[in-house]
Amino acid sequence: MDVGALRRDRDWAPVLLGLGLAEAVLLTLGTFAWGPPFSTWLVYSIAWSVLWLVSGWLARRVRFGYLMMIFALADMLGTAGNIWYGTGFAFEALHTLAGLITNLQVPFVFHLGLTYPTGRIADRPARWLIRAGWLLGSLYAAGIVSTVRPRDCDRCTRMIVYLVDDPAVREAVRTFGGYGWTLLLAAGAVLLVRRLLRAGPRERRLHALPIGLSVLAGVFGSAVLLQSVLTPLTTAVFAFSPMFPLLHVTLAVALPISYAVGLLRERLDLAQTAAALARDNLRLQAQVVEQLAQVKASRARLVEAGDTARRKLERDLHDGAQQRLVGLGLALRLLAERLPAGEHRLLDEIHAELQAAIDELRRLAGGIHPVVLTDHGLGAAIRLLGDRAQVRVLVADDLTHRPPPPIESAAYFAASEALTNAIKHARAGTVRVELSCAGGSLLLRVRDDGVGGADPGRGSGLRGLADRVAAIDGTFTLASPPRQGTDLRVELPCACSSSKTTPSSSSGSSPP
Amino acid sequence: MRVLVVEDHAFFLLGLVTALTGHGHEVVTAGEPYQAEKLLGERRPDVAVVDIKLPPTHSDEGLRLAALLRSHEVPVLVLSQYAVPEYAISLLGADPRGRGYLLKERVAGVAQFMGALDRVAAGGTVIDTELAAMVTRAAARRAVLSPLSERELEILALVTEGLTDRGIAERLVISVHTVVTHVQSVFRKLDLPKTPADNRRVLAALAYLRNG
Repeated sequence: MDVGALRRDRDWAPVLLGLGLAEAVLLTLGTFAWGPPFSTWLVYSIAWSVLWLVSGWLARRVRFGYLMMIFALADMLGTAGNIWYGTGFAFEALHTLAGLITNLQVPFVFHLGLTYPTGRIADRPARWLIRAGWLLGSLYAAGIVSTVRPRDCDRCTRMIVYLVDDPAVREAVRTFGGYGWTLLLAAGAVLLVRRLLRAGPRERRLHALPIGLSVLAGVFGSAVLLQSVLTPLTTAVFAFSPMFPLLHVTLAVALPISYAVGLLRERLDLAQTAAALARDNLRLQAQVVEQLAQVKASRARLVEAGDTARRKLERDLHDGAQQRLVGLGLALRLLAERLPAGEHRLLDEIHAELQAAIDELRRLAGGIHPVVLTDHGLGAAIRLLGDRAQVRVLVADDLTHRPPPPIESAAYFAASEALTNAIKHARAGTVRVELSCAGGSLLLRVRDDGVGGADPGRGSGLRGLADRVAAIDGTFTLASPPRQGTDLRVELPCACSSSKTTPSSSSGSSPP
Repeated sequence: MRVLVVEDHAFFLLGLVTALTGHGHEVVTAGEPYQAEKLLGERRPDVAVVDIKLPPTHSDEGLRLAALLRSHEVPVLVLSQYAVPEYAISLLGADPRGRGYLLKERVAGVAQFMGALDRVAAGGTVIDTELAAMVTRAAARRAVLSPLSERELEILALVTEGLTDRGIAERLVISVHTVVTHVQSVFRKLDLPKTPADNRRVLAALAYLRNG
């Protein structure tokens, strides 16, 4: 029976519970009509079935719970068939079915014990033992049903398959079943003990009691069966020791309860683990958010510190080394003037060399941080870039106020990188640079008419640009289809203002 | 002439003073704008040589001092480490008379520097060669100057430098008459206002080149 398939289609647990309860009521009412007077043993028997039913209901989240409920249904059917008395085919068929069910209870419980807690067969030894159990159980049940003699009583129903009336055959079946089950139950007990020993701490904590009880039931069962083989009558078992009935009842009651409790504890444990996980998740998430904010802030600080350092370096070069060299050049000239004509040559060469050094230093300092950017702002600095570039650069500057230095620096280096790209890689003829302000953002747009195909993933320059823009919470978009030019847009958060509300493609400061 | 020199870099100042006194000028020096302002009150100089970067912030104090000197009608030659059009435009303002903008290392070409100083002191305008060339090149790339011939472009750059027709003629070794013809042609082609005064046309040219 594939209980899993049933569960997938719809939830059968309420159906099974309903059937079971209806069956219990029917069993009780039917017993008034056809059964013997109610005895303690009968009440216990019905209650035991209901106990399995309810335990199975409680454990219905797993397949095992369904098996328990099915067991309860079968057990009640067996009880009815065993105790109801009547003549006719229906009673005889029911009685025969009950004989089969009663004798198949042992393999069923064996199956349950070996598949706890999931209801699924976990390993090969278990599969073989369970198969052997069902085979032995079926043979034994068939043997018993076909050889049992109508009881020596007034109100006993006949088995319809009563075939062999030979006490020797019946005895042989009993012996076969007894030894077989003694062996199987012992093997099952060993398997469970081994499983418990190999289980992790969590499994052992949750399932030690139910599995231990299963083992105990197995040991008890094999002892009982061995006893029944050694003595001619089963009833003699109960005479063997006054402890036996007590132990039997205790185990029988404890087993379904411990199964249900074990499975419920497992669910509770899972829920607790899940809750702990969720709690940990929340805490980690909060940590990550905080760390991200810290990283963002420190990244912005790093970029700003870098800018400040560049500005300072430029200033130091400008006010220090460059000034000295220019002063030196002047002093050399003055010195040369005092020398007679014709002796200037070496000094002239020194002066030329010095001038080259000054030019180089000026380019270097300008590359580190252009003084025009500091003194005259973005538009002027970008225009100067354009004046020096080897292509046509049109600058449209709509800004009416200067943005804060970190924003200016980022925008300047973005424009510089885009220009370099346009000249070096895109082989552009004209580059249009637009500066405007919209929605609390400074918008820098650089478009060229070059070959396109720029990819931030490849060039380190564009990637550096993207990083720099991201460091101050800006956005960077690049459209560069092959042969259609490159359009780069950089948006930087800043409380800026612009002479126009919308970005425009041309303005008064650029030629038409 | 009496020359006010405002420069905070001692070694360069020494060279500048040596060069100026060597050429027979009387020199008064100041290390920063406030001091220069005080000297101004004592006796008016004929011309001032001012470094753009001055204490206390070393940004554009020199330009602000130049504006102050303008109000006292003192011609100013500003020295800068960089050729920056914005500096020149801001220096020239509405009236470029008696204004000059040179790179610092030009002082080492002592004779030419003295000539430039004389021109500024006499109310002329001087713009650094590099700046004029850079601006003209950039304007040419923007196709602003496409109607001009090679020779006219050359002459426009010299006009922007602040050279007179005679100065241009000397530089290019051509006749003044030829220069005048070219300059008129350039101004006509660019639709610039006819401004006979040499210094006016510098401003016109520079602004035009810068903004197209």
